[in-house]
Amino acid sequence: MPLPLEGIRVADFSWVVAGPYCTMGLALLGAEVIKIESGVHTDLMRRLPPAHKLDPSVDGSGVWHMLNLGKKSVTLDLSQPDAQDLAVEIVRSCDIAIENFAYGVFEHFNLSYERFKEAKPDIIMVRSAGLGRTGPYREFATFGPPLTAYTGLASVTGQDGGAPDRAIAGIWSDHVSGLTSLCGVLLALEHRDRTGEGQVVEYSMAETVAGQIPEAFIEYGCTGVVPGPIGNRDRSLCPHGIYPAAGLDRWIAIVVQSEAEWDALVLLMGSPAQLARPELRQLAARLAAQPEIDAAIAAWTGPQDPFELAARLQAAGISAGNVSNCDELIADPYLHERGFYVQMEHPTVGTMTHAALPWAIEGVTGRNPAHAPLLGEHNWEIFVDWLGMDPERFSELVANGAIR
Amino acid sequence: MSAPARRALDGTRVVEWGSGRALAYAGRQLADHGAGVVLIERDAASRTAPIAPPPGASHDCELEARVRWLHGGKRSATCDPRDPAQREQLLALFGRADVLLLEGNIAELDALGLSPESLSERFPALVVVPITLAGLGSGRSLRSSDLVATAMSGLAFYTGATVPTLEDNPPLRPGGYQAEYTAGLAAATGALVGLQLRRRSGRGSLVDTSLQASLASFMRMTVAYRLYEGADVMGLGIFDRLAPTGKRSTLWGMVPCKDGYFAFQASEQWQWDGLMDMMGDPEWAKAPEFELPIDRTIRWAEIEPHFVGWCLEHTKKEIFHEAQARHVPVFPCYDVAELIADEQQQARAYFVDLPVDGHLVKVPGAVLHLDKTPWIHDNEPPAPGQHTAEVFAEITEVGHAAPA
Repeated sequence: MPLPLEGIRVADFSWVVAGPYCTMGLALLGAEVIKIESGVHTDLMRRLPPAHKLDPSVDGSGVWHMLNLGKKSVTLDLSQPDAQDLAVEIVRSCDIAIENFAYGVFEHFNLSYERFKEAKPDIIMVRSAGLGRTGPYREFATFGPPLTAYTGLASVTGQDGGAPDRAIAGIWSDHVSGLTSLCGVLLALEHRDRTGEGQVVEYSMAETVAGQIPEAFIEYGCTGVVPGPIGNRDRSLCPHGIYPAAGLDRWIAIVVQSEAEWDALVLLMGSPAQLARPELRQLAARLAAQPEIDAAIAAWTGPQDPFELAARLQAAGISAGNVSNCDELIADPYLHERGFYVQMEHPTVGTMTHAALPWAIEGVTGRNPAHAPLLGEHNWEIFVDWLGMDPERFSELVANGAIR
Repeated sequence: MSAPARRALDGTRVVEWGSGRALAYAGRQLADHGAGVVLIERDAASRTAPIAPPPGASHDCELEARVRWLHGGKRSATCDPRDPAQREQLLALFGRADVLLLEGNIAELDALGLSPESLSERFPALVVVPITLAGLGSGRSLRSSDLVATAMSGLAFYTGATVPTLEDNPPLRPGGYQAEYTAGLAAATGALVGLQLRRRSGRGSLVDTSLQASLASFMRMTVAYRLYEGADVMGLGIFDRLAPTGKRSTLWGMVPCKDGYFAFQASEQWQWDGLMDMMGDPEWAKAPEFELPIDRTIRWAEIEPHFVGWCLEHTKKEIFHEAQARHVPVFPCYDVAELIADEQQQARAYFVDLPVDGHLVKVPGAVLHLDKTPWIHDNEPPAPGQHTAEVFAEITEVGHAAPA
């Protein structure tokens, strides 16, 4: 069976997290992704820890590997006109080009959608910036983690009634943006496949994050009250919390979503008089008694194993789960059985495990990808074998630093 | 080539079956880009129960706004699959669709012979996208919720700064319903992946989308830290929630200032230099023990009084603009009202007016800007069952053709 994006070629000028997560998705779905990078000012992720003990170079970082599985790498010094021309030549054979440089950098390299479109009339081009490519802040310096503060998400994240807290787990802004970008690419591909017309896809990282908290804006619009952190509580459900479990820093999440589930929980807890009161079958009464209910549940869960208790609660029809730390996430059976973790055979660090994509699709996901590329690993393949460059010319361009 | 489509998914037929916020958001994504989305509902409650606001004075306003935001532009048909005649109608509808999005009680569907797997087998051209907590494997019948997905994905454990004591500070979910919205975005994207696969293989597919895997895919950096070095090499407090390096005011955290909080990134030397320039090149920063980024992480407790002391005399907007003038990625911690009023968002017209109960509520608008096929959200949701006769009458029409 073919892969979903077999035959699609991508000129990937993106770097750091958001763009590379999108293009890694394209690669794992079957596209041929050519990462066009600088051999001098390398992608930040090549330089960030954790470096593998067998390879501390720009080829050995775990965070580089985790975002660039299945891609090819060519190195161009885009400040040189020869390199700019080569970038256009690569785009001429591609379906998609993607960049997420700071505003103006791409144009500084004499690269643009217009130039790419001239070379490939139906090219799809994805462009993004932290705060968008229009507006007075379009040139502002951005990294995803601090950006989360701006989006409103941090203002509604934090312990109940406390100060705003960081919302950076999962490098949140970057990954939400990367998934949004992937969605935009596929929408543009649908249109191109039907009409033959390419187009530009643009997004702001900040807006992708703010777009996922509509309830906070609606609450403000309907009540005039600015929402703040409410911890793990929910305004509409009770019980709804993370409760202690047996062991150091072990926790269980429990959510009751109906009267029947409340009844089942009370029964499972042994019908304590404190909770078995008839009035607590009503949501409004439970919300009013939330501190008392949470305290009773915490006393009940505290001595219990979170996995065993979650299984008992789920068997009773109640949403519950262990609060997984990193080691438990890596060992999670539900993720393993859907082929979520893949193995990368790398020439310098050997076999390493990496997280893959949100979906399980038979014949598509769960395959072990090609390794994240070494810096410039595919220069010869792309420029000589693919673009047909004369080997002497290739040597000249390496010598003058256009390819490096 | 046919004439250019007005929107990317014009002509695509989507059935949204079941109940849930992730499902509703997936359908909204596809509808806003032109797909014809039919919402199949058992009754009115199946739409409102999973997105209900709390009881109280603002309940009706918030509910209406949520429904308009999530379901505007769709059609609605009511159908109870437990009734054999209605079940046959439903199956006939699936036979004419391109995409089936579904979320709900999988055990009940299994019992009715309507499992996602059986539907995928019965309708070989259909892209079937089930949304569940932990996928269609051994956890297929687990009761889902946003909080539990956040817990099982590892996200809750690593949201928030490190804490002074474990027992009083449980792991934390990010604000809103990030697991459900992320899974909804993943499901919409997965549907587009399925359409691309169908174009190449001539067959539909089963795109198993799990809330847990959608978030776990974002946790790849934490996984890489553990599997490559086993350590929290960035000092973010992600493995040990008591680690002093992960305090609130450190890198990517929330630094208090005169009127609230801000977040910064200074992992590179030039970023730190820019911050110190903003602070007037203070003497304390010249101490050799604070010279390197890793030193500053480890010795943050010594830096904090100086750093925060200056910040408490300046507003978050002053710090935002002064730091950005030096190209340092600093962002104010905005609440939702401040974000709506921000001049960048005003300039980009990101927030749009949603008419609710006689007044206008500002809500997030277009995230993806496709220059040839615009995002358009119809604010008018269907009444439950409003299009039942129309939708099922169409089953008997001849001539449905899948998009080329």
